[in-house]
Amino acid sequence: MATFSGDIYLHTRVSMFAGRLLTNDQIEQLPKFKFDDLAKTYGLTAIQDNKAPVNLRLKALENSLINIILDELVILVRPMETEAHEMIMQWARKFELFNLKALIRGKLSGIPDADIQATLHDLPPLLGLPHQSLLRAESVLELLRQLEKSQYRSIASKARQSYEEHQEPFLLDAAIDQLYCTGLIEQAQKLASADRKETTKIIGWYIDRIILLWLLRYRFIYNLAPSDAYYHLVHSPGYLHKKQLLALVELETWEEVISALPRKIHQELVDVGSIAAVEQRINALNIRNLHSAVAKSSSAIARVLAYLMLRDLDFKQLVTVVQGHLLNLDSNLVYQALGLQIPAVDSAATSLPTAA
Amino acid sequence: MFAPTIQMQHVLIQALTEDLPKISVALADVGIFDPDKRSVDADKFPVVPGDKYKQLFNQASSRMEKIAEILNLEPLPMVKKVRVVEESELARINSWLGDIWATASSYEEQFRHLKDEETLINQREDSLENFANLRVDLGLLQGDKKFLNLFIGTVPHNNVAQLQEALGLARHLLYTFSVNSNATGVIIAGPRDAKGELTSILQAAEFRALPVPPDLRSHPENIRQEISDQRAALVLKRQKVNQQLQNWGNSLHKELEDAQRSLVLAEPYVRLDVAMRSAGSLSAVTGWVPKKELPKLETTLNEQLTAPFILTTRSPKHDERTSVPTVMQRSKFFAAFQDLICQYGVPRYGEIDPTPIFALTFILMFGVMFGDVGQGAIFALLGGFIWWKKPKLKSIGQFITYIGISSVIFGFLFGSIFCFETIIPHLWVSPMHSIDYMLMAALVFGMVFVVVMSLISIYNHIAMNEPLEALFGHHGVASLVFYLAAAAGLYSIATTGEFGLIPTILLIGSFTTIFAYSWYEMHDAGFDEKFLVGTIGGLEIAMGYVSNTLSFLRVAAFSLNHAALAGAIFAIADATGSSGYWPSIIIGNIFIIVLEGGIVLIQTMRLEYYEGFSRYYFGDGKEYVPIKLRTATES
Repeated sequence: MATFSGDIYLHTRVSMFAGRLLTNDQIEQLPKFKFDDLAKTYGLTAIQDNKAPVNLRLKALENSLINIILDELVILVRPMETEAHEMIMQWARKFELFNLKALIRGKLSGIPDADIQATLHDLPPLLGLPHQSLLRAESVLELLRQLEKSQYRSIASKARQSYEEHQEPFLLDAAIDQLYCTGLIEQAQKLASADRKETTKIIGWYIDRIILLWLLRYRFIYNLAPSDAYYHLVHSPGYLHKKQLLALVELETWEEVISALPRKIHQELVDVGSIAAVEQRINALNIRNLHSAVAKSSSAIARVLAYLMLRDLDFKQLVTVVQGHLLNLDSNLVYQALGLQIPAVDSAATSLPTAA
Repeated sequence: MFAPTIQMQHVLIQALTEDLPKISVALADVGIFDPDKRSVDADKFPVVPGDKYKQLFNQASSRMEKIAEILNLEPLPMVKKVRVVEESELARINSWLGDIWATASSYEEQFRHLKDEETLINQREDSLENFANLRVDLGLLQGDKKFLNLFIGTVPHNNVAQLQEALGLARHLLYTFSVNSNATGVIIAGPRDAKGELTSILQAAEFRALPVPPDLRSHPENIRQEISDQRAALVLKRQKVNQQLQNWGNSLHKELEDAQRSLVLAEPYVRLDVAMRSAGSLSAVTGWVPKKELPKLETTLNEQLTAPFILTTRSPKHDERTSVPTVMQRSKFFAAFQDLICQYGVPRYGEIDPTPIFALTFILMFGVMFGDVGQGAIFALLGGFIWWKKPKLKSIGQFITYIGISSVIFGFLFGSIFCFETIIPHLWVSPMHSIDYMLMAALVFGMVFVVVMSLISIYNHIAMNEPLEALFGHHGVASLVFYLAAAAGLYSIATTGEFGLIPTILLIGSFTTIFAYSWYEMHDAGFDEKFLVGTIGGLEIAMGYVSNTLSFLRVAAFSLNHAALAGAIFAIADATGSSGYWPSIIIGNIFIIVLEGGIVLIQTMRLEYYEGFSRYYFGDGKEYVPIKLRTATES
């Protein structure tokens, strides 16, 4: 952060915005809300169009929520110095990379353009992936050539391998995630020292979550060898650093890996037996850490990052609840998906903060 | 000269839906119709026709663009005859272009493979030297080993560290040697039982094997020859593919030209987009046309449409001014200045054309800040040369010539030629000897500039039907009175020692008016907020006028700066003695022309944009983009 006034502005802004975040109680109330009340509270006009197919309504909802995040992001990055601005933009690139994955996967599997288009996030020009031109590519090879000329050259070579050597599609996803996480760490390292430590800590939690899930998948679902699994992971600036990863990948059983995790993570995962459960628990830990950063961090940049990450997680919860309503899912399933205890008796919902 | 932009008319064409393609072509042919994409009358005409047509056109155009790039097609051919392109024809062209693009794409892929081969050959050549320098017995690296995995090859630099650590887990060692700027050479060795595991990591790390030639040490010239042969073969292969591509392109030349023509003719229908709407067999097309061109539009439609149609026109309403496209009369003399204006923003419809005032004050301020006969003449000659010799850069040539001439004129007025201040007499003033006078002159110029800009702002607000803003806004009548009263009061203090009664009354009166207007505007706010915003708003206006006026002191400052820089150059020239004197003067002049000339340009632009445009220019107009055929017609 360059200027004192900019710093004060950001702290004030984040404190004001923080009122929009969902508290634990509010998340617990989410499944109890009726569909119309939920749509009304959040101004979710996109999902109220009863004639549109469910997948389009959900996509419209996701798009509108992403745009809320990006609108807030634009307000928050305005007073930032270039390095901090770039770091926050690198975080937001996750939406762009989602599109990139969907595009490559879709083209590699021969899915029609219209169907691929329907899965893509509708992103503002702020995020610069040339979706339309990539989508217009008429063959996989043309798409790969276009990617080779773009900033995603390294992804293009992985995608080519995947196409020419019929590799597992998850390796491509892993390569994209690796590129993203490395970029995030590099950007954090460029921050001024006052912001670097706090921000890197948050990025560490974020990457810990990603690589722990990948590590478990590589070793126990895809059965990759330790060396192979290690190659596809990133050294986190958080708990799962290089030494820790080298030790973890060599362990042969799920239980061994869980017990060898750093204490802070291990105590959250003591009795979990599935990757979905790990994801929920680690998300919960992450949310607690991020709330604490928003409330207490001395770095305005770290608070901004933590706020945006929380906002993203909140919206994911919201989408899950809406999805439950639209697909008429059993409410217990929705509670499970949210990582909540299934209540004994349904009680009436209280109130929710608005989206924006 | 200061007339607002050309008058426009809103046009509504009602016709049969089947005639829409004909209308689109006729509108493109006449080239004056800018579609109104606000979807007016959407309730009466709910359907936007031509979805399939647009899809076909977009795909065909995209294919054509890609084909044109790979085949280096000439600019678009002329259209032989204006006609309607039916959907079936467009579908046929699109499908044909799809086949052509598939073949063109395969050529692209061949070129990519050739590039890959070239990279491999380069890496092989680069590694040759490094192999030779390795302190290992290369014989040991050749052939298959019974108990040992051995890999020699290259890996992108970024992947080396992670690969080394991963290989460590598979009990393998990795040694590096340099190859080139893109990749690192690696030798990987380890026990043979882990080969399967390794293949997948090496693939992920983009490892490329480098064969170790058996006679590397004994006969390196053989390997060099082999690489040279491979390179020559590659060149031949590339030439062959290029030739094939060229022949193939030539064989398609006529068909591709026809397809390009058809796409040019199909484009207007697509460009009409939502400005073209229908309800059953009836349709409406809406847009904007310059008023004086209406007869031309009517004649063309009458000539090209056989079925009946209704053409309705009306003047723009006040509330739609920002949607009306602006046609700026292209100035013969100030074209470059118009481009600079449009960089800031297109004038709003009805707004005064800022070109003459912008151009004249720009030229004047540049001349004052960079007054030198010799250096100005260089600018003028350079500009004249560009104007004369490079027709495409004519407007830039004009611009440089004008500012050069202005610089020459002020050079005479200030008595400066190539930094020499004593060769020619000054016709007006010598800046370095009349600093106070120069500063005062700049201040007066600034005041006149600010007053003129405020008057234009008042006119613009009246033209936009914003009387309250014209009277009480930031740059309205009340603010101007406030400014002039303050200036008169200050002048009175300087001459008589008192502010004066009339300026005091005007100052308080205008401030109260501005305050009251701000109060009125915030009718929903509380007392505290109204008071605070009104007071701060008034102070902001006062500070704004003061700082805007003081900004013009830089005009004098740069004029003095020019003379001071000249002095510095002479000091350096004198210090270098007789041999270095003239070279120092010449280099110093070049330095001033390039560096100071650039800085003065930026400062002049800043004064125009910030002190001028921000005061009176809306600049949020819509550019006039009529639909036209992208190429000329042969007839």
